[in-house]
Parts: sequence; C-alpha cells; structure tokens
Amino acid sequence: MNARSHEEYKDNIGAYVLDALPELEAELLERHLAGCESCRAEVEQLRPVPAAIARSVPQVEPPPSLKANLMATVNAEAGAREVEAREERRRERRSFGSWIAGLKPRVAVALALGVLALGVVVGVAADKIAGGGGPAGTTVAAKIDRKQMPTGQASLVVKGNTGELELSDAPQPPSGRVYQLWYQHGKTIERGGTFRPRSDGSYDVDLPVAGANAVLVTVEQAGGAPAPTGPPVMQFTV
Amino acid sequence: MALVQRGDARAFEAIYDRHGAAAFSLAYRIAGNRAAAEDIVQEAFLSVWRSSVRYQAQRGNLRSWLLSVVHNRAIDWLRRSLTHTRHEIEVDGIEERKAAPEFTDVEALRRDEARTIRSAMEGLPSDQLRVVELAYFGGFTHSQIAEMLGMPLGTVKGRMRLALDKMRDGLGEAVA
Repeated sequence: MNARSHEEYKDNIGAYVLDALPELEAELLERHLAGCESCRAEVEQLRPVPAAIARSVPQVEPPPSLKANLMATVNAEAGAREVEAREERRRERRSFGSWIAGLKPRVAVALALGVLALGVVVGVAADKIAGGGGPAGTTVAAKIDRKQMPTGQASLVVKGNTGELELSDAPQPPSGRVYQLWYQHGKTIERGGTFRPRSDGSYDVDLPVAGANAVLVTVEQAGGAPAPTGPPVMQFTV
Repeated sequence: MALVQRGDARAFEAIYDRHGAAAFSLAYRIAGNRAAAEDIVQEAFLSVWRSSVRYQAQRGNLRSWLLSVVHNRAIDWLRRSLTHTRHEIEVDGIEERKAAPEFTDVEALRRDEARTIRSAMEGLPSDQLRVVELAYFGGFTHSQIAEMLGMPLGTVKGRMRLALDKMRDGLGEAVA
C-alpha cells in the first residue's frame, strides 16, 4: 500500500462523494480524512451535491405491491417482536412455578395439531414427494395444497441440522397475510418465522430442522399466529 | 425516526408514504426496470427498519439520507448485475407521479426543486455531465469511466470535481 500525498487524496474527493472510488481507494481516503481537516471540509462542502442529484430524477409512481410487501414484512416483524416480548414475560412468570401458565401452550399445541391434521385429512392435493440423498443433502419436495397455492414450486434440502427452503413462482399471500413456518416434533409443534416471497415469487431461507419430523407452512395474519389457524399450504416430511 | 428505531411500524409507514416515491424514482432511474427498483427500495427500507443502517441527523435531512441508502443499494445491485451495461430508460410508459391532494404544496415545491437541480446539471459542459452521470447513475468507478471514455484517469477526476464545484456554486441554497 503506497503512501500518498495530500494532493493525491484531494484529487480523489470528487469521485469519493459520487461513490465512484474503488473500495480500497475509498478506505485509504477515509483514513486520510480522519486526520485532515481541510479535506474533511471539502467533502462536507460537496456532499450535498449528490444528495441534490438524487432529488433531480423524474418522479415515478411506485407500484402498490411495493408498500404492501414492505409493510407485510414490517408488521410481521413488529408482531414477532411483540410475541417474543410476551413469551419472555410468560417465561418469567413460569419461573415462579405457575402450573397454569405452563398448561396454556400445551392446549394451543393440541388445537394446532387438530387443525393441521384436519387440513391433511380433508384433502391436500399433494404433489409427489421426491427424495434424493448424498453429500449435497436430501431433497424433499413439498406436498402443496393447490387450492390455496395454485402455482409455484417448493423444495427443502436437508443438510444435517439445516433445511434450505427454496420457493419459485410462489404467489403472494393475500393482502395483510403472510406465510408462516411451523416445525412438528412428534406431538408438539413449534412456531417459526413468517415471510413473503420476493416480487418474482422466489424465496430462500435456512431453517433449523434438527429433531423436526415435518416442516409446515400456513397462511396467517401479518405478524404471524401463536398456533396455526388453518390447514397447511405446503408441508415437508423430514 | 426515533420511533422507527424503537420498532414502531406505523411511524415507519408514515416515512414510506412521505419518501417512498422519491426512493422508487431514484432506484428506477439507476436500475432501469421496475421489478429491480421494487427489490432495491424494499431492501433499502428494510435495512432502515432493521436498524442495520443508522440515521445520523447531523449528516443531512432524512430524505437525503434515505435516498443515499437507496443509492448505495442500487449501485450494489448494478455492480452485482452480470449485465452491467449502460441501459437506456424507456421514457414511454413512465407514469409521472400525480400529486396526492394532501401533499400538493409540498409536491409542487419538490418539483420546482427537481427542475432547478436538473437545469443546473444541464448547464454543465457535456463532458462533465457525462462523467457525473456515469458515476452517480451508472455506478461506474472513476477508472472504469476513464477506460470507457478512453481518457486519462486524472482528466476524469478533474471533470468530476469541476462539475461538483459548479453545481455547488450554481445551486447555492438549494443544496445547503
């Protein structure tokens, strides 16, 4: 890394504020800026120009789906934070040994398994399960309820304790609703996260599948539900 | 913004309502297609929501800061893109934004401001405007621009600097 003169750094200031310096050059200049008041002052003087250029572009109406997708994720995450906070409070209460506080989740799980079992019994138009093992993992295709999800494909590649969920051409859930993941461990079910596919219908995420014998996806209100409220849109038998 | 950083979804929605169109317009101008612009804006706003990028009030107003977040994401997208070629934006079919009634005055001021800035840009010598546009909207580095235009790197740096100085002087309070 060659030492540079003050003038050489100064010559790079224009490119720097336009974000047109390669990363390494930008880092070198930033180190110089830390100790050079006059260069810092020049950067501060020029910085508002790119901000103005950003405001010069012709205004284009964004599609309504942008806000809908964004807010679905934001509301889901805000809801999940609330659920997490509630669960934290519940755990604190349990630590006092309240038997009743411990009973409620088990009731919810029993109800949830009832709803999911009903979904399977009343007729999930299932795609075939395709399996394939080997060092790349075991690929599990989804059983998809085509009434709820008429298009799209989904697969889960299980590698040790992780499952790589991949969706393509999946439809967006209805407005105000999201897909929610669930992990079934024998007779208990564990709540997972929520998601919406990207605008092209794709989505991928790594799931903690250790000990789970099935991964399920349902459609829930934005923010997610503490227990499934309807039959699964898709399910993977791990 | 403090409310957003504390996880208030309604406050976040208000920020999107106020600045989402400007963000989308900038992403669209850089990416050249609506689907990519949508992904860029979504990523940018989610990074703000998840507090992975922090607003620093002393570095300028909220709108400028949000647009700089969108700009960074859009340039990352361009540089990741395998087909990083100069694209032309199809002007046909671009729907100029219709001002929402509640923001009519604000919108009018913003349009005036955008016109003033565009006119300052158009007032630059064409060789200076070219390097600024290739850098800011094209996501090219100074050395890539020098190579594309077949000119010494020092010339590109000089033109960038001259253009920025002229715009700074020409716009005065508009960029203050």
